[in-house]
Amino acid sequence: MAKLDIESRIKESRPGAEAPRPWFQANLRQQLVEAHGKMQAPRATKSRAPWFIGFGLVLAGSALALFVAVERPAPSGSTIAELPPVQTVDSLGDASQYTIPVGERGGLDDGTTPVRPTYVLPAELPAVPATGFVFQLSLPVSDAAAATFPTTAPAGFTVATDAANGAWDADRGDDFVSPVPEVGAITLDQVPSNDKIIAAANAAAKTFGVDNALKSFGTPTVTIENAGDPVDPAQADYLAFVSYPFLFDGAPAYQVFGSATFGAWIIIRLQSMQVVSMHFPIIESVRRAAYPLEADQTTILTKLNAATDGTVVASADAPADATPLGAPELVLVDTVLPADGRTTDAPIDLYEPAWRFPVLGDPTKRQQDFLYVPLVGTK
Amino acid sequence: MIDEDLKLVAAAQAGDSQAFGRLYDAYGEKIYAFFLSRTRHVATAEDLTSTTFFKALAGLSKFRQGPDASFSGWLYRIAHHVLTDHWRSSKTHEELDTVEAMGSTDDTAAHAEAELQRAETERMLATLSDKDREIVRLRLWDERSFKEIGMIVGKSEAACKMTYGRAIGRLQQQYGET
Repeated sequence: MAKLDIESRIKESRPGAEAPRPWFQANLRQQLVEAHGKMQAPRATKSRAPWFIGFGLVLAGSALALFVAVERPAPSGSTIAELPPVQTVDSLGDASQYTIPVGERGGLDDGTTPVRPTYVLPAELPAVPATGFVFQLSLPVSDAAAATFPTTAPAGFTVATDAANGAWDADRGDDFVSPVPEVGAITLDQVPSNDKIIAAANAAAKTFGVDNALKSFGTPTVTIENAGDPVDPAQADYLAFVSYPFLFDGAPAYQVFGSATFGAWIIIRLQSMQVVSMHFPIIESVRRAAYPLEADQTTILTKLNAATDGTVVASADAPADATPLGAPELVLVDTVLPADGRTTDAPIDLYEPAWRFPVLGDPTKRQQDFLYVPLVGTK
Repeated sequence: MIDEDLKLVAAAQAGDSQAFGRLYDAYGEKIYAFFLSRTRHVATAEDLTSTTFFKALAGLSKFRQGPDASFSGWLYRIAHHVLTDHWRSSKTHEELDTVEAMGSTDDTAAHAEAELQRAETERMLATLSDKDREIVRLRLWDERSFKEIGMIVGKSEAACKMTYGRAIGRLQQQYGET
C-alpha cells in the first residue's frame, strides 16, 4: 500500500501538464511536413543535399531569424504581396562541382552509425536581387562554440585576403571569410521565446510601416505595406532583415539589416534608431560596385529615409566606428561542437553549413559571431 | 497503436509527408510534456520538442522496422539525448524556483498545497541517482513500458524493472510513512 502511495504521489507530482501552445504545435507540424516533403524531392531526383534542405528548415523551425521587407512606395494598383516560397541554397544554380564532404558529424546518438553528410554548395553567394527577396536566417553562437570553428578555409574556397577591408585580423582564423562590422554589445545566450520574437519582429517592422509583418514562423507569409499602403514585392528597392532580438545593454533591441538596390547593407540598432554600421554587399561583383559608396553613408541614409518616409533612421549620425567592410564569403562550417568535447549530438551541429559573418575588431566580442543561412526567394 | 506507428513510419519512409505529420500528432504533446516536466520552461520545452522531431525526421530513414521496433521508444530515446545535451550545454541547471513560472495562475490554498507537495516529491526524487530518477520518471510521468524505458536509457527491460523496483522500494522505506 505504501508503495502505491509513493508511486501515486510521484505520478501526481508531475509538473508541466499543460498542453503546448496551439500555434507552436501547428507551426512545428507544418514545418515538419514541409521539411519531410523537401527531403523527399531531392531524393527522388538523386539530388545531393537532403540534409541541407532539412537543415535550412530546421533553422527556420528554430525560429532564429525573421524577415520583413521594406519597400519603396508602391505604384498605385499594387497588391498585398505574399512572399514567394523559401528556396534552399542548392536551388540557386548548378552546384554539382561544389559537393564537399564536411567531415564526421555526430549521428543521432541512437545507436546508429554517425552519418557523413555531403552538402551541396552554390557556386557563389546569391546575388542581391533587384527584385525579389533575400531571406536570411541567423543563428547566434556561443563564444565557446565559435572558438571551435575551423581556422582554415575548406577546400575549394578562396581565402579572402582583401586587405583593403582593413578591419579584420587574419590571425584570428577568420581569413576565409570577410568581415562584418561591430554591431554593439550583444548577449547571445538569451533565447527569447518564439512569441517574443514575433512580437519583436512586428514591432520592428512597424517602424517601417509594416503592420503585423510576421504572423508565424516557418515559410513566411508576409503582407507588405509601406506607410499603410500595400506594396508589390516586385517593386522592392529595399529589403530589411529583422534578425534575432538580442539584448543590447540588457534591454531588448533588434537589428535590422537593410539592403538597397545599390548593394549596401546597413545594420540599424532599433533601440536608438541609429545606424550602427554598414557593410557592403553580398557578392564580389556587387561589392565592387558598392565600394564607391563606401564613404557615402549620408547618401545611403538619405535614400533609406526617402524610401521609408524618413521613419527608418531617426539619426543619420553613424558612429565613428561604422566601417564599411567587405563581402561575406561562403564558409563551410563543419560540425560545431561545444567546448566540452562532445563529439555527437551537439545541438548546434544542426546549424552547419552556414554563411559565417564573424564580427571583427575586439576579439572579446567574438560571441557576436553569427551563422547566416541565406535562403533566396525568387519571384 | 504500435502497429499503427510502424505503418506511419513505413509510409513516412516511403515519402508520405503527411504520415510523419500524423506521427507528430500522436507524439508531439507527449514529447513536449516530457520536456516541460523536466525543464519547467515553456520556451525551452518548445525548442527541445522541435529539435527532437527534426532529429527524428533526419534519422527516420535509419529507423529499422522489425518485431521489436518501437517508434515511441526510439523517439523518446532521441528526446532523452536532446535533454541530456540541453543540460550539458547549459552552464548550470536552473534552480527550480528560478525558472519561468508555468501553468496555473491560481493562487488558492489548494494550489499552494499542491505546489508544496510537488516540491517535497521533487526532493524525494532528488535522493535517487540521475539514472534511477529518470527511469522512475519515465515510468510514472511518461507512462513508458519497461521495454521502452530500456531502449531510452540503454538498459535491458529486466534491468529497468529491477532498478525501478529498487528505487521505489528505497523511497518507500524512506518516505512511505509520511
